[in-house]
Amino acid sequence: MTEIIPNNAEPVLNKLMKLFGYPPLLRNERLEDFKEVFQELYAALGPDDFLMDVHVYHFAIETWRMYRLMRYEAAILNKHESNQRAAWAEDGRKETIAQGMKEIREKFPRVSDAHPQYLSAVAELKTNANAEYRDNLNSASTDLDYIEAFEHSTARLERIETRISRAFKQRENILRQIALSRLVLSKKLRKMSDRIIEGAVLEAATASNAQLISQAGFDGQAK
Amino acid sequence: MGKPNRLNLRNRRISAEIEEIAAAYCDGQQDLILYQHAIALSQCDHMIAELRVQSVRLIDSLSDLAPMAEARRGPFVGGDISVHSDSQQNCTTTTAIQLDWDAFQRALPYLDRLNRIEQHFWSRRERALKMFVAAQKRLARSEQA
Repeated sequence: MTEIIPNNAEPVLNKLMKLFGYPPLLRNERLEDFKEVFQELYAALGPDDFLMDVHVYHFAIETWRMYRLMRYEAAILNKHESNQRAAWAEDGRKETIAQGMKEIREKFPRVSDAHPQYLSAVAELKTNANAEYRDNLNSASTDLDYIEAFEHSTARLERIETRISRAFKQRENILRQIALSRLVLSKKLRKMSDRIIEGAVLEAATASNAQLISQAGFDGQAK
Repeated sequence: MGKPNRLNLRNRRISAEIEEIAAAYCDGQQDLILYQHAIALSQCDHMIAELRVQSVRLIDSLSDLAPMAEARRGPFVGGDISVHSDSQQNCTTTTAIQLDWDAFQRALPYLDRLNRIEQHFWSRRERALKMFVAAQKRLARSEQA
């Protein structure tokens, strides 16, 4: 992460929050995180007046919204992958137990179900099956798992993607508005600098004229 | 003169907020036309802010309060998720996001409506901004003249 440049982002954000209310954050989102995002964007875009401050504020909110939707996308994929894995692990456990029970029955063909030897063998089998189940759940996910999850969640992901593109478009609009404001401001500043330059040139011309006149007067007197 | 009924008082309260934003936009410039455009711009900003807050409130109100509180208090003890996740911190975050997503999914039809209204105000804001910028330019020209 880049180092936060000390700027006046915090008082600006406080002023904006006073005017527009708190930024739209969900209950599990922190204002401090939003402040950090705003600070970074403020330092990057470097607004010059209140109009641009408001644009940066809108930009930060849209960015926040976009990343929230991206988080949802990841959550959907993770949830699907986790459900698939749980189902697969459960199937494996059932299969192990079924296979094991068959083997136990072959090993103890004539004992009853309440026989201590039979019961201990079944308990051992269940412990092993549970350990296998836990191992299967905790094994590392592969890309293939996520590809399968992606295929199954395409419809839901598309719905989120539409909203992400909308937020992205909104951000672009805001950036365009910032550019427009900056253009207006630059023209205004250019005009101001032109006036200053014109004033300075005029002053210099007046001074040189006065000097010429005084020189001419001095030459005349000398003649 | 309008009667000072409840509606007027309510409008006046909102109008004070909008006027405050408009004054900030004008930045001390005393021009009626500029101020009018700033008011239009502020109204749009105010409405967009309100609509955003509404959509967040909607998601929050549709999220299941009990599991959300549980997720915030600490990680789930027992159950498949805690067995699966690498750390307890990750588990809490993932669960909270998933609960959020569930609420978001339920709120989608309402959010779409709010979004349409928000888009309407964004287009109106864009027009208002253009007018405001044009008024600023005009003012700068007249000041120069």
